[in-house]
Amino acid sequence: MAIFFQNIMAGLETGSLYALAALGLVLIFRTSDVINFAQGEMAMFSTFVAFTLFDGLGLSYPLAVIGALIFALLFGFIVERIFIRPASDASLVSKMIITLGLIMIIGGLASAIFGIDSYYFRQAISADSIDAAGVVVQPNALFIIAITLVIMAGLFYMINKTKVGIAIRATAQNEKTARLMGIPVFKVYSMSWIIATILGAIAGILMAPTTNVSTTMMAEVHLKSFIAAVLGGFGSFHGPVIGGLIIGILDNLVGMYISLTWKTVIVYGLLIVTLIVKPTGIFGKTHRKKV
Amino acid sequence: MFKRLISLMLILVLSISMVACGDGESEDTSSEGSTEVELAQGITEDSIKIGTVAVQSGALSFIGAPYVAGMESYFKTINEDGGVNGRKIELIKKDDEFKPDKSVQAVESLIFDEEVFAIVGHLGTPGVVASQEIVKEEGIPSVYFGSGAVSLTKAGENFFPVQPNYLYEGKLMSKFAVEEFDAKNIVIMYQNDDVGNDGLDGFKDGLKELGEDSRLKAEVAFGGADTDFTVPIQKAKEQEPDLIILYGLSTGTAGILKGMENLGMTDVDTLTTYSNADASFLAVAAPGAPNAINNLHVMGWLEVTEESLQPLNDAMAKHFPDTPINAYTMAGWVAGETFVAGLEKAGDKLSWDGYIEAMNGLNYTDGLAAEISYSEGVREGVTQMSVSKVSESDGTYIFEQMTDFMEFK
Repeated sequence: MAIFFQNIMAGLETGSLYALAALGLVLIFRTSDVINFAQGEMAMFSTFVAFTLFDGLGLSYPLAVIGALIFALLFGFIVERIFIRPASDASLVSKMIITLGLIMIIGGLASAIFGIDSYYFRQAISADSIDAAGVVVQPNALFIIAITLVIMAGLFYMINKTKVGIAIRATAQNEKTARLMGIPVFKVYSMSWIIATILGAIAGILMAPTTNVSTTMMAEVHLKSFIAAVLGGFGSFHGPVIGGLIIGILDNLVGMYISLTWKTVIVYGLLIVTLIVKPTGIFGKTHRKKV
Repeated sequence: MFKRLISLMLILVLSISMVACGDGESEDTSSEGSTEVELAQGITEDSIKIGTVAVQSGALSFIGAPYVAGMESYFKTINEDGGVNGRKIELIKKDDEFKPDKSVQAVESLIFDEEVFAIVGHLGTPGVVASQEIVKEEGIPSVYFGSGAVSLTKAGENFFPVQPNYLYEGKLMSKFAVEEFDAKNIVIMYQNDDVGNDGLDGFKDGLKELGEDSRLKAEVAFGGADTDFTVPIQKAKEQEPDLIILYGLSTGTAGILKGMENLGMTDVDTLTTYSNADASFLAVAAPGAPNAINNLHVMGWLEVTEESLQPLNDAMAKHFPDTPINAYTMAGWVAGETFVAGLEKAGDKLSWDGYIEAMNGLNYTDGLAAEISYSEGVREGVTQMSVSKVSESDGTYIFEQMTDFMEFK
């Protein structure tokens, strides 16, 4: 039984990181219908900033992380202002192609500025593991799970209980009407990019001890976060979190009890079946137009 | 009769023309001496043009940049000493970004546009395998591959692999596991791709040939890009192993070691492939696995001593002072050594056939590798390897050789 819970614990930890990255994707999608394919690259860049502040400039870990989050704030703002907003009248496909182009730009910049090597980056909490009835629990894993739940709850509260949330929901529903109602939609777009970039940075910094800091560090996480968002449903904020946790746990359980060699095929086969049955994702809603 | 004579003369002229322009291998002849020597493309009286294909941009250029620098610094050293038999070596470099399609284009460009004499040090299994057919078809000598693909050992007479292939290395690991580690409960954790599967097959073949199959308790797959290694580690842990073979490349193997550290599996001996025998691997693996790393052993095929590295260090300091000297630099240097050893042996018989014939009798022991030898139909490359152990001193991790060089016989 300890082995079973060990897998659940590890699945929750990695699933939380997929969820964090997925939340960023969903936030941008809900406000502007754009899928930011460069989310992983932006997270990688912010993680490099954190690593450089910590390792290169010798800042303490908390200061380096805060510095990277401030950078992510500016980074998200600049990307939206320079690359996305000028194309506000372009089609959705064009905007998504812009985000694909951003992958190349940010990847190339990262290689040029930070180099091409891999670097080890420490865990957020480096305390000793706890043995709980045979299950090894790392304080860092608990921290990751907790921070994901707090962020999800915060976003949920913000969307449903604050004026900012009403503005986001209104913009998501109908941009023109929102503008007529006096909602500064461009500020809403800008804010969603900023929050998404910060969420990506947090996911990258927390993932770095496992994947190391490198220009390719977020490739797998970004892909899985995208799948988590699709599985949970792009229409809700709790859906991608649960989608991420499902992927994390299912990966481990299938690997442990069915086949390690075939786990990827089995897990993603199951996900495709789920989407065939419910194309909008587990928590997605089907919108029907009334005549 | 006259018409027949004219026809015969025309046929003769045509035949001579076809011989003269037909194959790239004999486009140039020197006829002043008493013996005619056919020179292949890329060879002139004072130069030998060769080409290499390696990733030099993008995420994996950390492998290609020092690798090519190592090779180029060797050729520069040879050229400074007058070249080989009076001919200077000119190296044409192509960047394939580690993409097989670009690799094939680069090889074609080297053969048909640049008309190089040989391809030296083609780096990266995907590109090497993708362009294998064209190299075989053209018959151009291809010396040293930055790849452990098994197919290269059977690709043809114009292929001269040097690095041990993963299948052979796996076999030799089984010998070390039995004879040096005396391991009774072995678990092999392998990367779920061509690299890991070759290593796994080799290891199992080796144990079988040694009559020790029963020592292998479990085969556990992992993904090189995985972000969670809990399951494979638990599966290994269940077997209570006394030796774990970690057959995977750096990212996955480092991830496994960190996972072992996190799950408290820090007292088991581990043995990994020569691909991880580099300081850059220790730099990313050791901080996250400070205890597990102390039990890590690596295979090695280079005889690295201060003395043997001196020429490389000097050449790099002179020509590429900003490029790091690591296992990739050494590999590039060995590629240069092997090619030049063949050139020296071929003398002036610098046709493709002449070079291949010379390489077939090569037994080179003066370089960084213990021994590089070829004979007709035998293309195993380096077969002698040793095991080194990671040791730590004042927070710095290094590899220390712990066994003699051995081969699987």
